[in-house]
Amino acid sequence: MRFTKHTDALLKEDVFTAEHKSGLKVIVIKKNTEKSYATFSTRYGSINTEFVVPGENETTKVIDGVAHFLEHKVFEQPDGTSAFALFKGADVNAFTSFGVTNYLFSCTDYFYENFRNLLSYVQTPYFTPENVEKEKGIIAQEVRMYDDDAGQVCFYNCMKGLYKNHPVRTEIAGSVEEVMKTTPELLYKCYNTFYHPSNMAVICVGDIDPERLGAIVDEMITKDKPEGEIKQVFPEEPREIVTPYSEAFFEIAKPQFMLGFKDNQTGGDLLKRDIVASALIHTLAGSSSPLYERLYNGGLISRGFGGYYDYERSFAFAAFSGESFEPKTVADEIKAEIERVKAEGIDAGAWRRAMNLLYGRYIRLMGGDVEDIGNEYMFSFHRGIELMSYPEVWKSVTVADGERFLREVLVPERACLSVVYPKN
Amino acid sequence: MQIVNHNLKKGIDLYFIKDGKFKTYMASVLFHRPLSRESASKGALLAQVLGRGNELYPTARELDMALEELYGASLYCTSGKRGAEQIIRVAAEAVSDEFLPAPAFDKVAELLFAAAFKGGVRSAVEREKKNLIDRIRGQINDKRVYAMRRLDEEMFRDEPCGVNTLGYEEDVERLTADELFRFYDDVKSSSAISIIFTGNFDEAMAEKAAREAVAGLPEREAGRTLAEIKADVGEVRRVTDHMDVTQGKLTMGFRTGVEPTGPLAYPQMVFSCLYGGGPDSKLFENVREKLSLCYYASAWADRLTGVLRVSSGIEFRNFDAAYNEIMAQLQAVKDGDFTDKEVDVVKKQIVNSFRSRGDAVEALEDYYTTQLLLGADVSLEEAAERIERVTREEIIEVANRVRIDTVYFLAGKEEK
Repeated sequence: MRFTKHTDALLKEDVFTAEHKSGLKVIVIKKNTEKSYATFSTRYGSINTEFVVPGENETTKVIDGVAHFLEHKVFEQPDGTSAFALFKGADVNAFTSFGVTNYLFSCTDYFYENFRNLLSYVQTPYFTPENVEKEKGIIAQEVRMYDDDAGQVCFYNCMKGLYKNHPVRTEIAGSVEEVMKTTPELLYKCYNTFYHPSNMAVICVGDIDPERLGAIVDEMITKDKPEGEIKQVFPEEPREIVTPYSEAFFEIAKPQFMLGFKDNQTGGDLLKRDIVASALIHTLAGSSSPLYERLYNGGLISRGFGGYYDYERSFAFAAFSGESFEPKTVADEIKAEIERVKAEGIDAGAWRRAMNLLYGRYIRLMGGDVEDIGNEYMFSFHRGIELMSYPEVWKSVTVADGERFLREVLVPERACLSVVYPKN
Repeated sequence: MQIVNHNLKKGIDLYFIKDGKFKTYMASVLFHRPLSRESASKGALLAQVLGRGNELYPTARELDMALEELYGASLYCTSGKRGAEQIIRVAAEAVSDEFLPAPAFDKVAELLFAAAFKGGVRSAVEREKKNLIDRIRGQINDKRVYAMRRLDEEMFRDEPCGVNTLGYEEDVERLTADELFRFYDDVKSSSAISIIFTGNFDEAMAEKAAREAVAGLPEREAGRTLAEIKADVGEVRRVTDHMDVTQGKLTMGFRTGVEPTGPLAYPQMVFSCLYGGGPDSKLFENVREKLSLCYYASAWADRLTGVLRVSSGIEFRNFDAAYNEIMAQLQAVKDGDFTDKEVDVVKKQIVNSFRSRGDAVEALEDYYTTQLLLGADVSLEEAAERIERVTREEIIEVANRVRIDTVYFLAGKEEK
């Protein structure tokens, strides 16, 4: 495998990239750290429940929660042991998001040995009726833990209010009923489709020698050509939302809310849109905004209030969330502020400060923990974004972009308020 | 990596943990005091008020605007504890000047010291009292953390380390702005103070800023507070609360009696990691993997209090099965029922976590804060070596000192 070296002028660091003959992308972000971090990830998450297997004509539709179930089961080795036992002196884990499943470890010693084991176990599926059955109990407990989490429920109720069909409306782990229907055949089918190296990436951060790492990839990845395209199918999603309001009741002290706005634009320059949206949301509702000051001093919000933008390639939304005894008033105030800014224009000083903040946040990310860097790079990669182009894209963003986003996305008709109230 | 101390005046120390490999730095002012029920509420409220304005930036909005101008620097104001010591901490984290379009260090330092020593505006007090009470009530929201805190309340009912650092609703309710600012004056004039810079910064600029900031403060006779380590337990305390939840939380507190700087301090770390530290531990392998009783079951020892805690999320009806298995696995370690390979695996994990701390400014500051409290000067590398030297016999010795103290169960509404 031949690596191409790129030196980042701002961070003063090298990045090495290569593509294995199987189609696997390999990226090494070189850092002068004690700890190194390795990820082996697939562009396959909880929302990929409908797809066309390469070489087939028909669409395959599977139950919810398979990607997450797979994440658990990939750890099981043919001799009945867990892959955790293969690692030395490492933090080993995996997670499933809407768009990816990521297998990872970090360590300060034995990196290459551990890396070999990472590639090995993720490529050794072993699913039997017995070991699948056993896992159902563990996953059911995990699902129940989330069921008690008011924040999770608030989030998913908002997604269910914004999306009629898109699977982002469904919990990543699925429901207990769906989990119980999982079979080894189903796991193999999804594994064989999505765990081909050409749908995957190795992204590593730390004091790593790319040549030595590349040699291990050459040895451990035996597939020698890419598989065909996996066509991902998403149900037709209307532009309109499902409901502007939903509520639930939990044993909590103070109501939690999330006001989401559905963004119907998908694809395009996602990094630019991310920066524009983040800057705009900060000027509207960040802690230095007039809205925040008014709501805080009026006792309507507490420190945790804020907004953010989240997306994958097939969906996107903006959100404002926090705790308040009067969530409906807060939602009305946010909407009124949005309309005021639409009429009066974005304050130039506030925009500049928000952009400064984003710049500092990027440097802090890239100068921070190797795991945070690796995860952010990995998420970006599977969304088709080159994370280290951030400063360049950041420079190209103007307040006019913010105005456009404001008019296109922050539209009252496409907002859903989700509230979780205390039970009594 | 090394920590360098410049004593500024009696009771006030400046520490540098400098490493040019970082792209950021953390600058912190720590006020150290004995933790008590009375100081908890005041400390928590003070920390919130300090974050809402100061002499330089009288409103929270002005303060936040200044932080944004400084390329998104962060200001953290917290009141926490280490064992029986209360630490009120005001800290700023920012990008190092070499990575910024324009230098910001002086302004960040100025802002930090204003927040720490000239902080707080009276007009913010009433609002922050309400917010603090909301936070105290909000502790019920995360059931896993709630069950841990309830365990501590029961286990440490007569000890300062059981004090809730967010304070108590009725105490907060009664606090006046006058009392709060009298407390602040006392904090500034009588607490031991550590000023710590960690990461990539200019030492001369940092020292100059720190010296100016404390110029007006008096010298003080102030020591540090260590928790009393209890080895004996009486009858096991068993407490069950009922709430409308779908998953039960079983938490258990044990006394190890291990002194934080004694010969068993490092063996205790290996023991607790072997018992319940992660996916290679006895609890994970048996309670979760073998018996499928839970999604999580873990144990960790607190060096400063000589306590071991176990936390697990289970079906209500599995209480007995989970409890018995947790105790059975403890017995297994006492009996020496573990292999050298298992020990080797967890040792490597702990060594890894010590070395990893060298990569993050906050983790480094945190590590040295505990070292300073213990009056110890063990580098991360030395700590890793001590872990390597721990023997099988020492692990068994720690295990045999472990005594169950309190069992707390958060059960469903209908459960018996």
